Amino acid sequence: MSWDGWAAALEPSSVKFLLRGLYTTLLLAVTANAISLLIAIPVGTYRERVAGIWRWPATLYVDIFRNIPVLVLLFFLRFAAPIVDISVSSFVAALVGLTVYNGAHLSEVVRAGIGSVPNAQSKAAMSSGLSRLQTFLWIVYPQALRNMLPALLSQFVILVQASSLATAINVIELTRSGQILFARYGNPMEVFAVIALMYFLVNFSLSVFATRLHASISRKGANTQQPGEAPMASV
Amino acid sequence: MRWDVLSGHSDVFLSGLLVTVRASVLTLALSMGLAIIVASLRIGRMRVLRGLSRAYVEFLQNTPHIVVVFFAYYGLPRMGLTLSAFASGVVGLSIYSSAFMSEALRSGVNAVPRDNWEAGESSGLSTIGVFRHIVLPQAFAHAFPPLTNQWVRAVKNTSILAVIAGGDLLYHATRVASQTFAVFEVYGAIAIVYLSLTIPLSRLSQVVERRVAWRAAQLGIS
Repeated sequence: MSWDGWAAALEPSSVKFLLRGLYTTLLLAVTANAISLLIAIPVGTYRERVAGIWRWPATLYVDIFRNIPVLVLLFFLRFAAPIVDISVSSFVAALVGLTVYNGAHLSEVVRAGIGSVPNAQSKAAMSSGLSRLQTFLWIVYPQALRNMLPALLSQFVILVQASSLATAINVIELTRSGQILFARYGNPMEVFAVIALMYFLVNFSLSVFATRLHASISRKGANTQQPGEAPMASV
Repeated sequence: MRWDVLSGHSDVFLSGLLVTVRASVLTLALSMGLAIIVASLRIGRMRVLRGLSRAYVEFLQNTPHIVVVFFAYYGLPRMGLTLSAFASGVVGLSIYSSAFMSEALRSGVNAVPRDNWEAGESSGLSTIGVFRHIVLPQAFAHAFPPLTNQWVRAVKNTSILAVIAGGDLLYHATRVASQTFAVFEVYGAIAIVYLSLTIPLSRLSQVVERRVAWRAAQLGIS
């Protein structure tokens, strides 16, 4: 570490460059999170509540993409796209990879969230004449969403950290920006210290928010499925 | 399907697999060792050590593992310590994983009810005796699920060696894939290899979890 190193890392143009990388990181994470939630809701619901033929592809998807390293997925997408004559930017390849990966993890979160809504609610709803879809939309999902908010936030923090792996396929996000910067100025320690600080600030504040949220939800009395209550094999 | 690519380069893949397995074993051992030390500091008596270990854990839990590994790979030589790509990857990953594992251990110890501590001390055991005979077995039962979760994560994270040319399975696979363009075959194969490393590990830990919980229920401890 040296003063020149710190000066180079902290001068305005460097910081601006890093902040643009941070913007790309967050863009990647937020977009991947949004799309993967759209995937995770049906997959999670199928795994938890609906019996039938769609269960095993869902299980296969989740088991595979939770157990392989994200990097394998990213590298594969990066190299496979040109082979099948699709030319995509690295950003899109990273986005697809992160979406698939996050979708698998979020499916488990959704599954737990749905499982935490007492089955009595679904039974009461359906005996009151609501259809299966209506029960899910208006009764189960809103409560499940409330229960799984902290877990959703934690998974988002994990996603932000996973987005740093997009460095390997040349997406100019925060870590890559840092690599470019220290390649230019020769101050890896200082630059990585700044980057680590940025990641830490983002992740730590999200974690603290998640903890507060969890505390306030528990305080307001989460209406969750108790062990003794009758389970529901399928809707 | 060009399976000949896989058989033709099998020696390269095999050496990559060996590197991955070595990295996984070393990382697991080192990070568990570090985690035990850090967890002890976290629940220890001295406030300064508690604060320092907390800062260590919070910092590492909120930083991506690739940044930690880059720090070890690019930064350590600047401080005079030049390690091979493999060694810096393992060191970086061990430090990163140790933070998560120490939290798992700490939550395990905290989950043991206070009454059990006091019962042990009132039976005449010293503090260390209480810890060894009463708290630790129960803490282990509680800590096991999140701990094995971290073990599987650590095995997956060894793929980071590919980014710093550490010669692991993913590194060699990427090289072969970019030379031969047999992308689907190569990545499909190594996905299966990684799955055969991680899935048995989680299945095994599920079995042990059930055994441990059953034993705990037998002995009447919560």
